[in-house]
Amino acid sequence: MKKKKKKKTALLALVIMIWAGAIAGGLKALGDYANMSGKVGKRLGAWPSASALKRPLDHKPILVLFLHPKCPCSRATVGQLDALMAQTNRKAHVYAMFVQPKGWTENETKGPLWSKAAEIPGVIPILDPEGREAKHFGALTSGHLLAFDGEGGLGFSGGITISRGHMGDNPGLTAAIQFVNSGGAPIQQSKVFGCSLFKTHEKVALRR
Amino acid sequence: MTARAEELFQQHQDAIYRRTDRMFAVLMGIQYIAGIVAALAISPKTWSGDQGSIHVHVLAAVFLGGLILSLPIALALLLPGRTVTRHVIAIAQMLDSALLIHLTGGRIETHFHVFGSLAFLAFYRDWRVLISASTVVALDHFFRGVYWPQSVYGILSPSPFRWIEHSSWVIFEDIFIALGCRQSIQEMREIAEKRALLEQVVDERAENIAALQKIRTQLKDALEAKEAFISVCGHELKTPLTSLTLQTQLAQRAIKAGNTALLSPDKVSNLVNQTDSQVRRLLRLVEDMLDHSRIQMGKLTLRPENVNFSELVEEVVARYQLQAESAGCSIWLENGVDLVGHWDRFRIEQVVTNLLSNAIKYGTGKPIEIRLTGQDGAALISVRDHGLGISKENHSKIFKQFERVSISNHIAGLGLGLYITKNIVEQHGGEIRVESEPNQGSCFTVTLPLKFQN
Repeated sequence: MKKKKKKKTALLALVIMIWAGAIAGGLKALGDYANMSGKVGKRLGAWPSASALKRPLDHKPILVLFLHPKCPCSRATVGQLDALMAQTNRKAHVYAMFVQPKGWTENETKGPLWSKAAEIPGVIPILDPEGREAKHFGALTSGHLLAFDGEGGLGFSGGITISRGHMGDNPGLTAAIQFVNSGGAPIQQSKVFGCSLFKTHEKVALRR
Repeated sequence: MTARAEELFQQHQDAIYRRTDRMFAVLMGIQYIAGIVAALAISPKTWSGDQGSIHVHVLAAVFLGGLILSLPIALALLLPGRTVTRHVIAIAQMLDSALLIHLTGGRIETHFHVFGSLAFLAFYRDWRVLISASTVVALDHFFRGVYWPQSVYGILSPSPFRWIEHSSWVIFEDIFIALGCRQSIQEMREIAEKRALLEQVVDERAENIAALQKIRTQLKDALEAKEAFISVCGHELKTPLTSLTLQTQLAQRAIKAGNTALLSPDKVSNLVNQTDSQVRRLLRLVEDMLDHSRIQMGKLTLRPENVNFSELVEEVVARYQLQAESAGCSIWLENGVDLVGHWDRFRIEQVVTNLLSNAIKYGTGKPIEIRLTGQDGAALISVRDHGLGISKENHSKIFKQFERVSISNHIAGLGLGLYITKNIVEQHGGEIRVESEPNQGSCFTVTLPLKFQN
């Protein structure tokens, strides 16, 4: 009887250990996914001349943020943009460029993320049909922010979230804020966390 | 704390553990669905241009959430009330908090799930489960702080002791919940003690009620016995008195009429004999009634002396020889031993008389056998008749007062003879038993220790 009870206890302990191990593995995989950054295109030196987006000539810094209209991770990026706007006091022109994939209607693109961006004072949401501007600026991943100075020189390029869909202080955000406020950033680039703005084969072509 | 109070306390505690396990099983089921709904609402798909695919968070909510909650739910259903069940539940609840926080993008608001869960765990009234839960929180913060600090602190280089600060807030809540648990346990113990006391009072009351009911039944029986006694006595006394009255009236009428034929010496002698017989019968009834009364009051006193049992039995047989002959019974006495016992002579004679008169009364004119033997310092007398007999279910009844199981109504008697006999025998330290079957006669055997200890 005692032996049987001991056997049962040992079996239960084994089940609990396997259960805890499997959960630890699952949480680790989830963390790894959250930390998996997106691809970045060719690095620019200055405002792309081929861009149809007209650069303002009032010498104020310009922030261009590329977003996928339905990327869930980019909700955190827009939240971070809100924090950035609060800390830079409209010292920069800010464009939220919403890539409109081929075949998507304007209504499909102007979803909740568009509305959220549009609600932030000073942020101008702009449609980017088929990601033409994104291609000019070398943005492949939703959440990619490019910070230009008043003369069109690139000061910072990267993401402003700490991981996929997670808000919080991070080097990218700090760099963007410092660039707008003081004209210099401690780092010039950071990882971008978000959905891909283009299909895989398009991305490969762009990177080439 | 008494053993019963401790038992009640344990029962109460076990009921709380089982109930809370069930509550958590339901809550975790709801949490599982809520996690999937949250994942579908917040991050249903991940995108690559215009192509969408199921987001990892949805898969995590379904599979990882299912993994986290499956074991505690299974334990709550299969092993409710067990220590391991509530600790696994506490651990799983905190892991599910971590998952939910992740699924909502680390929102501050979702962190309240941790504090809500600790409050819910307080339903167990077991502070130990808070340790399991809080350990998970502390370890989660510690490892995240080391390997992925931005996911929990929002910065890349937090202080190495930041996890202690976060855990301290959890411990802060734990302290108050643990104090509440301790107070609750104390109250449960007090309730158990009061309930045990109340049970004791109720048991005592129930015992008192049962005793009172028993007394009531005994009183009722005694009253009924008294009524029966009066009725039987009235009836039994009336018969000889009626006979005496008739004989007296007959004599008076003869004297008045000067009827010498009726007053002849033979007739007068016959009348006197009949009167004497009726008076003896009355005396015997009155003696029985007095004996009954003495037995009831415990005042049947014995005056022991050396009694030659064989002689005593022979005397009684000789006295009843005539009565037996008139009833058509012959008496066979087997007396091969010489036994001297230290008994109350009068009472032992009463025993033999009762047995023999019963054998004559119920013997239906068939032979009566009396056997005297000695065995292991005791005298045995068996009186066997071959008359009406007694059915087995009536064997114990016949030794009770006023019990007469004879099917023949014309046989007179108070129904006290065997009752008195049994009491006399038992007072002498002996026993009486009967073997009988209907129409097969009866055999009464009395065993009397030769040296009676009063």
